[in-house]
Amino acid sequence: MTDAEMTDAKMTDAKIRLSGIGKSFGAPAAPVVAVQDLSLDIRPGEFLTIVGPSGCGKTTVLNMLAGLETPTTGTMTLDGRPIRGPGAERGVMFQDYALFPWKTVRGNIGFGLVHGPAGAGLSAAEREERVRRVIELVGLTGSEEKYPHQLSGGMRQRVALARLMANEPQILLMDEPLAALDAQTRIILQDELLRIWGQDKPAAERRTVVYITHSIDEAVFLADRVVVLSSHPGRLKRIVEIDLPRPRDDATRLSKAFADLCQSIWQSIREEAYRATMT
Amino acid sequence: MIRAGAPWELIRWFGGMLIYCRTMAVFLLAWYLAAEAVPNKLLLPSPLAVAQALRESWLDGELTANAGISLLRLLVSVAAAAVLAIPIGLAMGRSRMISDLLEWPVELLRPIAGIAWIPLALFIFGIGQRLPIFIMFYTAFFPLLLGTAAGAQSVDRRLIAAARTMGLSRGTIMRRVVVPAALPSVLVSLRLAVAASWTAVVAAELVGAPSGLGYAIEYYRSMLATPTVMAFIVVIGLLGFLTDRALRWLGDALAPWARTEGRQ
Amino acid sequence: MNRLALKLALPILLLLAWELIASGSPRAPRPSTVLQAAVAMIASGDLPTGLATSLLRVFLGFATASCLAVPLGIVMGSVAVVERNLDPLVESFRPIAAIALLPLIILWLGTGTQAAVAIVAYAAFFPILINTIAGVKRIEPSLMRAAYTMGVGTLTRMRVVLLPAALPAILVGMRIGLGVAWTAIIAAELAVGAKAGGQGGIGQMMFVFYAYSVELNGIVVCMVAVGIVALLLDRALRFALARAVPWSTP
Repeated sequence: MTDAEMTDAKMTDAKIRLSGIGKSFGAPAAPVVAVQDLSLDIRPGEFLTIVGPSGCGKTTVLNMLAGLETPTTGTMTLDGRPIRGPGAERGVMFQDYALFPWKTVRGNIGFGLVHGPAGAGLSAAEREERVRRVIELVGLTGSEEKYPHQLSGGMRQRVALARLMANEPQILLMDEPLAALDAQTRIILQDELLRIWGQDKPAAERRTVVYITHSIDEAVFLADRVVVLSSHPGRLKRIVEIDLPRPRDDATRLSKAFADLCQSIWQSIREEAYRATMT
Repeated sequence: MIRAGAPWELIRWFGGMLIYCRTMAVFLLAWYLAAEAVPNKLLLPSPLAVAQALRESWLDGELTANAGISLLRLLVSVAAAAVLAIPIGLAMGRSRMISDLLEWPVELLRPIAGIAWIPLALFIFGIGQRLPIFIMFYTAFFPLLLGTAAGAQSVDRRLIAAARTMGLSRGTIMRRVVVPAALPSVLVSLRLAVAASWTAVVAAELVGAPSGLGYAIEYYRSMLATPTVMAFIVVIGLLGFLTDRALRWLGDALAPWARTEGRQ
Repeated sequence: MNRLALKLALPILLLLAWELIASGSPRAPRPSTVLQAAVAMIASGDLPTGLATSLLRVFLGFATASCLAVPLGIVMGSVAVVERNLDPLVESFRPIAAIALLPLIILWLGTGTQAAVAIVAYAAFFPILINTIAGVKRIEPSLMRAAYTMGVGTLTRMRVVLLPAALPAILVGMRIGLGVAWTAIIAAELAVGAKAGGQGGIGQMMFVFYAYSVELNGIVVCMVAVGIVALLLDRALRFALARAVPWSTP
């Protein structure tokens, strides 16, 4: 990357910039293209959701942002610096939570603080205080000493979210975090997610979120912008600005504007979604 | 963590004990009657004679002395095997190069039972302490090595990914993610290793040691003291059972998360 | 190609080191002398005869154990009362190693094939029994109920639902049992060899080499043979498992 491009990235105020990202798997002779020529600027403090039918490479995009996979082509920058490997400034919440089975709720939430760089410079008391605070924030008080296998799906999801929050990353990367939950729990946790993200606070105090989901109404409800991907290979199809007022709540879900946005996005992927059910 | 009602657990436990005692009483009675029917007391002594022999060898300290020696050998050899096998197993599980390098030597040596080393080991070590310890070490080594390697290899990749995204170094991931994730399979293989080793101690002492439980049963057989032979066999079984229970308890204490997870 | 070289490196290096180090003392076995001894022992028929004797004992004992343990395991696995009442006996005898019973069995059955078969049968019995019980208990109750609702009779149900569903576990138990049996026969023959008398068997052969002719090469040949047979037995049962239960991935 040239210096000129670097300045450019800073000037346009992109937190993360993807330019011409492509990713293929398998043998070089017969590659399977998962993502193709994806360019995207993610703004600081923005809640960005990515939707698309299965096979659109949503998870691959998130893994590349996390630094767990390297793109085959193109460049990715964070604050103008290329992304090479994982970093504590980008926290990840995995689809199936990836909780450490040998750690209690408290141990899981404090894991990054105790063993990783996120807790550097903090005293033991400060770490404990931070863990206590996030436990309270996500509503896990009273379950601190339980092991993951003793928790319900919704509780595990809260632990994973709390673990993410405890490390205080600048950027939150979330891969279908609510997919495994029942419909009621999802709605409750969507509301809480927005509260924790800080939708009542001024935009400057919010963290940047990249959120993968296959559910269109969830994407619309949460996001500032929805990125729609097409499948086989994953390509950028549309970016939809969601101008629904914040804070959002049940009234938002019932509004006509919300329904219209969902309908519009559904129209743009329905054909591919149908096709995806046949494979 | 089983948190069923305590009184219910207690009733179940007593019920189990009752059935246990009933079954064993029937067995002992059948044994007693069979012994009465067999005229030659050397062939089948009655359970009373065995109990008497057990009491005598307990009172003159012979039982505790021999059992102590065998248990000490078990402890020394399994500990040595664990110290060597667990780090190598972790390395094999996490590095394909190391596992490739060691695969053939391990696969070639493993099928040769520890017991088959006895004649060669008799040459090298002679009759004494070192022979049973070597045989037991060898017997315990491979289950531990392969169990650890399998455990380290099958660590959930998402857990390692999660630790990486939190910025943990390779060494910290090894210590804080791979080792605890592999711990349940290490503990299971430890139980297998101890059980196999306990079998090997009897064989090794039977042939090549001047002390221990295996030596004792062989000695009393040659003296035609069948009740004492049976008494020592009972002790071997009992100690095998108790060490396994102790290890199971240790496993539950060290890896409480793995207990109920396995049942789901 | 590179990986193969890596896999071969250590064994070749170890064999070379063994050859070099042992060439200093004339009586120490080395790969080359072991190979010579192996050829001689195969040519004279000693090794094949010894192995055949041991294998025959193992198969007799193993067959006895299977015939007793599989039906008993099926009954214990499917009838709770039987399991509850017999479990104390199983749990009491299981920790007693077969080899520990050797002195008693010599007393009862002498030092010949009968004693060897008894030891093997005892050793193989418990792994087969335990795995059969577990396999039967693990069967989805809905499978049996499905057959029941289709009007299949009790005996047929056992044959066409219970047995195939438990078969993978039974075969796993047999595989473990066969491995244990092979170890037990070596131990038994070694120990009997120490008492002299009796005939044949690879374990006894090893002991004779140790006690009478001080033939270390012969001992190493026997050890290698023991290892190869163990490997082949395990592979054979693994193959049988894959063939008999194509729907299961062990």
